[in-house]
Amino acid sequence: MPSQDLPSSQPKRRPGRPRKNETQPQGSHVGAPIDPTDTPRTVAKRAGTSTRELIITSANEIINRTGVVDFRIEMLANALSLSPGNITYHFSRKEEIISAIWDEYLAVLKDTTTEIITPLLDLKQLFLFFRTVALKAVHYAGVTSYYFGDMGSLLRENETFRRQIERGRELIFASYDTLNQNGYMNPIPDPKIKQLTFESQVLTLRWWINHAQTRYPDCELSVATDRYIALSLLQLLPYLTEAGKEQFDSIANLIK
Amino acid sequence: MPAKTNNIRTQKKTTAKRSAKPETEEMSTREMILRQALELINTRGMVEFRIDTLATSLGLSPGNITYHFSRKEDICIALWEQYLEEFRSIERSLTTLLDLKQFYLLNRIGIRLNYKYRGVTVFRGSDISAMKRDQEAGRINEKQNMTIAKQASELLTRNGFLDPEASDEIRTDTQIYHYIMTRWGINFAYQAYTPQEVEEKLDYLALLSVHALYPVMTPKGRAEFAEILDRVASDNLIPTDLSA
Repeated sequence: MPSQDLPSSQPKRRPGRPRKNETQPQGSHVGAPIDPTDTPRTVAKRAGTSTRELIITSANEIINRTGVVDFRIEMLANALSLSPGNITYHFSRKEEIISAIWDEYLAVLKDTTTEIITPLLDLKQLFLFFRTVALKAVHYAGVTSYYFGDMGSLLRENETFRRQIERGRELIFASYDTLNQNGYMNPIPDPKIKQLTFESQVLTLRWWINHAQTRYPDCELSVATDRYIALSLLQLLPYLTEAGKEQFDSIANLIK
Repeated sequence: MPAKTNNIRTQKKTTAKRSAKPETEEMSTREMILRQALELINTRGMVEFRIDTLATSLGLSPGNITYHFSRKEDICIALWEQYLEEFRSIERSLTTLLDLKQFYLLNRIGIRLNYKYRGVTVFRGSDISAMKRDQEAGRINEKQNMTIAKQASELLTRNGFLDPEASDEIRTDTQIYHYIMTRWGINFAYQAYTPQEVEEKLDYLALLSVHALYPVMTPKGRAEFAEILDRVASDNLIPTDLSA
């Protein structure tokens, strides 16, 4: 019985953190030994559950439902059963939480991009790359749609966005070349149309989610995702070789 | 922010007392408020937009404004309705659509309209709460746009610019594509170009919308597209034959 397992010297109460006026009896640990240099805080951090991270994760979930504008620190405190003070200790204003989520999104996006696009070989892999990017955006939908939609943030972040799109262009143009070398795609003859094709792809990959949200209730969003991702490949159709078209069709069939 | 709104709401009562203004003057104040609000929202964004800033810039008291619009969201809604009303004129001009150049011009009007109301359209189509709060309005606008794309697609196919053999699925996909290009083209422009450049890129954005149909264009369609592309690129727009 649990009560018998408790050291007899301790008053009978639920296990948990020691009260302020009592010290943890030495050597009474049950289970894995704990490194004495590990404060509970660093242990939690290592497990990805520091209060700060918890706040960011939970705030992201809430914002995905409420949007940035309606999001309040009190909601977050309630959801985490913390006092608002606990939260404002880490983030003094909700804007700081939002920009922390945004930074996380940017970091995640950068990682996935370098990881996936370098070994790109065929159309299916390009589809998977677009899909991964799109799913990241779904995961951070509340914050990204705000950054992609409020005039204030568009203006503030203009430089970041321009750099992103510049880099995106290098990557996408490189992937057109690879697809060409591997026999899936013909080169796009007119450089202006090549540019238009690239820009169409970026626009779809960034804002499909806004269209999906106007059209489908939340629960269907994930179902609609793949169809929209296939949409981002559609502009390549005029340049696909037979092998490319075959892959395009098989992607389309997979989605059905 | 919520504290401010409450504060403003109490002030509303005071202004309501001296509301013996003639009808015409009431109208013009309302219009003046909307015009100025649009300008502020266009430059600062909907989130940062405040009724007090608006009042100061108009030399009015906040109460003057809350007499007409009790919350800033109401101003946003009124502007959105104005936008939808103007958008309907595009729908009406569709029946005469004959070729790709005319389709381009139609897109050009659409993009310019989105640009005129950019603070509002950009925000309405993007913040989750704004979208959810007024999903109906969003749906209506989406439907309008999709109807336009569908009708245009039929007319252009009939006149030999789009491939009649294209599958229904791909056809619908290009129409969705077209909507995304038109609806969020301005958002894209504010990410791809410097804010100063956006205005001169509007024709290019209209072209980007037409380009959505490129996968289903016939050789005749592509030839005409190339022609429009040249004109937009050389900044030689609206030559007389194009606008005729």
